[in-house]
Amino acid sequence: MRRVLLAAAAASVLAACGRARPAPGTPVEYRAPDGAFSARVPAGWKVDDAPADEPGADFYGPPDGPDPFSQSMGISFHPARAAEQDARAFVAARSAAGPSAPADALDGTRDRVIPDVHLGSRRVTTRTVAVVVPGGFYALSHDWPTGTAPSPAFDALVKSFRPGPAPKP
Amino acid sequence: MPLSALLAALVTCAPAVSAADAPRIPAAHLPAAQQGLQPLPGRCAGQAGPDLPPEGGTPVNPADPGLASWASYWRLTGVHPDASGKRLLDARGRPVTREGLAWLAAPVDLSRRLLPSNLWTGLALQGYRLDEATCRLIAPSGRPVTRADMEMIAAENRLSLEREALENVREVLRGAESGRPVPAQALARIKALDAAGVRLPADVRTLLDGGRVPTAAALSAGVEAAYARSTRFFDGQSTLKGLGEAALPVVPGFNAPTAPPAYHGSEEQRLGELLSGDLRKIFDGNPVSRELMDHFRDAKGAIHLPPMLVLKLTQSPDDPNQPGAVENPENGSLTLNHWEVERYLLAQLPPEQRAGAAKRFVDPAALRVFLETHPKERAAVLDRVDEVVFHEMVHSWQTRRSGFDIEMRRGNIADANPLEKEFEAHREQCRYLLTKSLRDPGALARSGYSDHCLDMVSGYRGFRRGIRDMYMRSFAGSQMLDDVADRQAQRESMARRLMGESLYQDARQLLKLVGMSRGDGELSRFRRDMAARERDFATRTLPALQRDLAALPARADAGGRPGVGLRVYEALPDADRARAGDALGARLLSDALARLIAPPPGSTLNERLPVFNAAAAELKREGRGWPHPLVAAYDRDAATVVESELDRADSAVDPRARAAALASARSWLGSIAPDAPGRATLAARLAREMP
Repeated sequence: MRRVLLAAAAASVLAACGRARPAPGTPVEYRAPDGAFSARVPAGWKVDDAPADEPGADFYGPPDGPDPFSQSMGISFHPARAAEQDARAFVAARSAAGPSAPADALDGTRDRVIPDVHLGSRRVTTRTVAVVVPGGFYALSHDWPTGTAPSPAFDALVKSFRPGPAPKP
Repeated sequence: MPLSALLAALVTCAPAVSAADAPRIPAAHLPAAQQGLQPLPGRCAGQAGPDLPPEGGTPVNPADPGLASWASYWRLTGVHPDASGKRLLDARGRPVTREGLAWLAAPVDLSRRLLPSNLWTGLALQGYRLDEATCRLIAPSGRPVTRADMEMIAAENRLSLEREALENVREVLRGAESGRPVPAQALARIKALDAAGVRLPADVRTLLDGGRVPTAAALSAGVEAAYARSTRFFDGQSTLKGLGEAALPVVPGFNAPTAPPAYHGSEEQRLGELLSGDLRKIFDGNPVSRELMDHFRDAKGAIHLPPMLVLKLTQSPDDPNQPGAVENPENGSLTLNHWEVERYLLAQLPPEQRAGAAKRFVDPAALRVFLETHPKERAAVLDRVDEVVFHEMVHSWQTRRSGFDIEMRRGNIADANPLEKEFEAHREQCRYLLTKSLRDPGALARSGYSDHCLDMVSGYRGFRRGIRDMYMRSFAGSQMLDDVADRQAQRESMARRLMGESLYQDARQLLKLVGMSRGDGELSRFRRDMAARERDFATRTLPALQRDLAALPARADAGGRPGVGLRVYEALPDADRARAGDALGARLLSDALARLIAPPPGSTLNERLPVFNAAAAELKREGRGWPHPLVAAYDRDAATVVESELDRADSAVDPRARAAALASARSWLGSIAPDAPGRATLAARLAREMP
């Protein structure tokens, strides 16, 4: 399902308390359709929570500013038996800490190249944060063009992330 | 399909991250490294410009009957009479002169003019060819393209972008409250389009330049009027007869859109047939490509691969928007980028032959003759570009299997390149590469798509997000099928609005609506089909592939490629990694580290760089730091990359390519230990090169 978070969130806010529509960038609550998790995401970001291999949702934004829709954030659930250990492994595979950088087992960043037959290659920096829950872990990830500033929206998303019952894959 | 529609169907700041947040190892992808000499741009890469019209001259009289042939040019580029009616003014208000018209009527000189990559690619697919001797662009009719022709093509392209922009803005405004200021999202979209060169309607521009944020109602009126004008312009391009034919179901031989010929000349066809023959042999060896080729069988079961061409798909070899290959949805042909083919050819040649070959290969005729007469080298090039050809063949199959593209070409669906098509082409391309790697792990080491495809192994959701993210960033407005449906709805609502204006409009808009309802049906079927295919891939095909790939790490290690094995091992989902065996990780790491520290003969930089990332991940997972010899090995290889990127910056023709190479050099330099040998020299060179 695809929608703009502004419309969905604004509708629920207006219906619930009759307040004005939130300005773009104002964090609004996103709740997964199956109730598996919730998090705060800036208004105006596009949401894609179509089913994929891993339950979750993706967000595309910011909708305004000098470089609209240049970043994305994702939330995905990964079932695991040894959740803490698997979450560490998951983040490790998505980190490139190098010889001297400090290592945070559940928070890693790396550069990658997304090649495309038509567009050429684009350099992207990805940060991955794992949140361990019973039965698995959630991977919260953020992509932004390498060399630009990451949106503060991701820190807000991580801070506000609230898991519900483990989803069925 | 008009060029503007073809272009639409093609693909077409804040402070830097602080050093503390930056990853230590930059992305392991080096377009220039290890490829040998870069192609030379030649005379016709637009570097001798600028191409300016003459100053002053004798104003023309609008009443001059000799000017009748310029009517289309006037209309498309905004030439208009002044208040007195005695002079003609161009869109910027400058008088049109006889000297200016003579300059416009002369062939465009591509040694002085650099065309945007998507326009160049679109022209190549339409059958336009560069005359390397004169730097003229030759139309399919054989006539040289004039400066006026080029301006009209660019104007039509702008109008098409403007229509799409207005459809997007209209959609955003539809949900806004009329008395309130325009949502920032709509304003940002309009400003981004303005910055991208889309000509905004005067009243929309006035509202934006007014200094105050207009209300949604005020902007809606301007957008509505501009969209009606745009619709009338495009309506004017078609006749009632044409609309009537498009409203009917497709009947081959009666109302099916005509396709341009794939080949222009027997030389193109001869090379195309050789390439198809070689490719067939490569594709026969892989079950995924055999499966794809099955979709290209005729009624008797014979396989016919699409026609294949090699053409310059950008004017300059280092244009940052360099496609590897493109599919032409009108005739199903696949075109490989001359520059990409040349890079692989040069890399194969002995170093002492590369400079001479690069000079010769500027001319596509020389490259074509070389490929025709050197079957071994031709096969080796195809072995490197088979993934991009496969990707384009998936597009070709998408075009064949549904009525979506044909209805778009008939004008019954809004022009677009839906991202769902790219998701499928990317995932199938990766399935092809990964299946190939099961038999030959070296294929993964050689491929420029290996990291991307291993991302897919790690999880389809993240892989898909990366592709969508890239396209949304590169192309104003996303192009998901949902967005196409939104724009389609805009066209239908405008057609209904225009219906009441006159009997003629009634007939015209009614025919359009009948055609668009046919388009709606195909769009809806296509959406369902693409969604079902994606679901099937994510839930059935990918898990099976992941299970198969669990055997690859051990196989790669046994075959002397522990680095490949380690990369796959790191990418596998936990259950599949467990299937591969925990002890295997430690063995792969140990073997891979040995080869990073003391590279065996034949080990290449492009093969080693991604292995550092995989080794870093495994060390991190084991809670270990980097052993000192690994740090030294990394510094050694990263220094080579910095040097290579600085060389690439020095030889860059396109300033964007130079800036990208310097940024990459800086990023790699930042990852080298401060006391590493040679670092100070590289830092000094970079400081001299940076602006």
